[in-house]
Amino acid sequence: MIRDTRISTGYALQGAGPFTDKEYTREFGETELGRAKILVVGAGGLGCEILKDLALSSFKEIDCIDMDTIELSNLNRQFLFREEDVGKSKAEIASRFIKQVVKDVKIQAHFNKIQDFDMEFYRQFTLIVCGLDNIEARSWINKMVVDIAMQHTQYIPLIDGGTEGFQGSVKVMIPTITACFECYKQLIPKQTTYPLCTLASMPRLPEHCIEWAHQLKWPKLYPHTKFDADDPEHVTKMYRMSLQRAKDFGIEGVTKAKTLGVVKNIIPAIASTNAVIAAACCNEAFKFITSCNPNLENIMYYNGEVGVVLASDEYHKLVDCPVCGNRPREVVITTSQITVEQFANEYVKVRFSLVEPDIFYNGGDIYNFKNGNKEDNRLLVEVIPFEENSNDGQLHSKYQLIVVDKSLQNPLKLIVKLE
Amino acid sequence: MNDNEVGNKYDRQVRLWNPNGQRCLANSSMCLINANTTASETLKNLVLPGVGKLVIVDDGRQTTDQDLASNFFLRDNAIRSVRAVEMAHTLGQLNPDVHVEAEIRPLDQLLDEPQYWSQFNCVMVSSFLESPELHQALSNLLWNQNICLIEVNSIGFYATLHIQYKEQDIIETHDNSLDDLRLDLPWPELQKHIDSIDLDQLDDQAFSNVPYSIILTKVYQKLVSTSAEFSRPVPSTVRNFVQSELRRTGDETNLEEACNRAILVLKNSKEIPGNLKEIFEDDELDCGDRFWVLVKALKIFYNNHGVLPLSGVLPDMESDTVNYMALTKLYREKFNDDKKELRGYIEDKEMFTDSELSTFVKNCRYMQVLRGSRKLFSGNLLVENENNPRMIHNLNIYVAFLAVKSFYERKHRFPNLKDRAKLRTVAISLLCRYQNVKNFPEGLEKVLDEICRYNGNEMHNTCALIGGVAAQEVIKVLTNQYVTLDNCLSYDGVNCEVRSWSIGSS
Repeated sequence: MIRDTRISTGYALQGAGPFTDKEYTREFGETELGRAKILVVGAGGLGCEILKDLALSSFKEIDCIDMDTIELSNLNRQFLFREEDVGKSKAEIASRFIKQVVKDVKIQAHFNKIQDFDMEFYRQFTLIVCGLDNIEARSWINKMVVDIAMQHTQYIPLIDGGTEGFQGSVKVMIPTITACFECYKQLIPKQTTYPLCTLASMPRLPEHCIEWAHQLKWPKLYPHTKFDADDPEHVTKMYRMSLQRAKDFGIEGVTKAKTLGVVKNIIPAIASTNAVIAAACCNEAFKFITSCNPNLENIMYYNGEVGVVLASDEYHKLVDCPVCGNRPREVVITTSQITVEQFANEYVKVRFSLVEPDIFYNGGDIYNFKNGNKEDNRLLVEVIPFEENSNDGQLHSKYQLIVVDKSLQNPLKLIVKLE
Repeated sequence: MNDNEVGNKYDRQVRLWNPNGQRCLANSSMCLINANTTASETLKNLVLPGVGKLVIVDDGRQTTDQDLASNFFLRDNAIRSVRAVEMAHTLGQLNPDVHVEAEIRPLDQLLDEPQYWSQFNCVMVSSFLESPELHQALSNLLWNQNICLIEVNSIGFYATLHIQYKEQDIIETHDNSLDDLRLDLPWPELQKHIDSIDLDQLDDQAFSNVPYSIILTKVYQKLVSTSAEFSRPVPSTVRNFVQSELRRTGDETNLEEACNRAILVLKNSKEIPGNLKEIFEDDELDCGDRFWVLVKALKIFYNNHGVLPLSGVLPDMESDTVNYMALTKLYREKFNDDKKELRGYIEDKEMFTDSELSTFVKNCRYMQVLRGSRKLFSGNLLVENENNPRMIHNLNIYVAFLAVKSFYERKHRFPNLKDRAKLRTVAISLLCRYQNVKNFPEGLEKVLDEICRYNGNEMHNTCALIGGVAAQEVIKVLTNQYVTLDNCLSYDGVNCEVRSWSIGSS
């Protein structure tokens, strides 16, 4: 017997259902699913689930990036790993496992940092699913897909899952069109930090004793050895120091587990929450690629502490978001022989999929569709001033060009660069 | 396995349910009826965290192409295998601490042996049973033995989950902050400590080290004594007093904390949650079960003192070591005294360990007693939620599964696209049983049509999601921590929404 996942997914693709867009056809759904290339960022707790779910959703081409190696404390939820895999690459072991079980999926592992790859690498994917445990990596990927959207008008949806204990969330983000990860950042609670004077002279909590040992005592005692939370000997030393500190001040509650929790900033994690969040991510990916059913609004929240809460909600793009907000887009022209009309049509209207764009700057109108200056054969470089940019030495338009169009909610800002 | 190893491999989850919760899982035994994808996705999430024993009951059917299409824990082999046996084998490999086995016997035979079921702490059924009689027999048997039954069904983008339990007594609900400051009701030792601190005599440094709970208590007592009718001051009055009457030292973190938490003066230490009042009046109070023995002792304590025993949990407060430790010691001592007194009200002094009593005293304010039901549906739900379209939609999904169940029990196959009209008829006759349902619920037709598209088939993502939810609820039941679902939900993968509701006790 040979596994064919399409026996199961085929039911969803066979035709338009009561909630499907009426334009949908079976051929469309199957073709899109067959040619989609998905990138999975992170092969940890969420990543293992995501890889399994995507493979059984009939996606045929999957890449997976993770820079980490397998640890013993991963095994309570990262089910593609065994004890004998400890120390090996997560991306490689996970990919190999999936390949063994779902044989007709092409899966490529990258034992790398996400920063090892450039924009061209990321542009090969149809959709990206993130199962990460930190904000830095999410922000980096987010900026990458937003930059791709702005520079190449190629929109790679980013589906981001996150979990903490019994709670989790899923964000479906279409770069520059819906809220991006940066827009959501204001919802992230601030991490607790302890004032240095509390640590140094008046600790009250076990956490204060541990942070004292971590931040102050260790560097003094071992100036040449960086503390490594994955080295059991280091952790034992840190624990003993913290315990002694606690004893000196009569504070109870310093344990080895607590020490590890504080110095590694451990977030509790369980298999079941990862399963829920990963499945929701992949379900959204499947619906997005095939159009067989609608997608959730923007974000889904999950909480399993009291009963079961799973609800979707709208979330709006921040107008002044530093990543996807209305910052100027770069338009590159390679010759000064471009007419205003050419520029308006080829470089603005077509590229940004506009209807009847009007272009102006603070020195006046440049192009106006309605006013009929459609045969404007003046050269662009003669209409607007250019100056040399101190960063790249190239000629840039001196002012931002503003574009308004009925298809745009906010004006588009452009900087023209002559290479 | 020693505790150190347990600590390491299960570290990330033990932080949620503590070593005692982990021991509960290791000592538990769970049964899953029907070896389909929903079952295997649930099992995965129970094998990994270390639930001791898992038994898959299936009738010995072989793996089909349909099974293989969505089930990660079945492998493509040249030879057809018995699916439950293979599932038990592959899932068992995920965790050497866990024993997974297949029981290849017809369910009706097993139901003739009530003692067979007594080994399980929880039983899950992951698809429809062949007949309503079989379902009734299983439900009755488990209800009578007080074993939890979880029923999960998953078709296409939809799934439902229903939990049947007689009673769930949860001490560690993890639902609220357990801080218990007693600002309005300091016990004599705490009052003495507060009186020994004279704010006017302290130098600036010492003043800035006074924890906010002491400041708030002093302000509270001052305001009560000067008010005409000795009434409880409101937070804004307390905040104004702190801001205008107390000394500025330049380092005012403790005063800022006092202002930010001024709302605490509204907390009446004598008041207990309504849910706890009900528990004190419960019919089971004298039944002698361990949980109720504790409740009975707690009731005596409460009747004697008008307050619950102190939780002993003190939040962090800006202060120095000496001041904060002095306060910690007072709270700890009072907690221990109250615990000791509570033990005095329990006849069998050896019935509970010290750590069991500590857990109870710490959490007792927020404990929960959930009473389940054997009813599968109530027409009232459709009437009560008339104006809540989201809820009606999820109830429609549940009704659609009831209709599919009824269809399946009669025809022994699932409805497909050609059966849309038939399924509507089944749904109507089903709803007619509930006299208060006057109209065919809005949107039900669409939901029925959607479910017919899948011919009863499971989709992996839906199984993975509902399997995660089911495993989570099983873990709550087995550890007796967090608050179990009460008692029914449906999942809509088209819109990514779950809604849950309680079907009243029978």
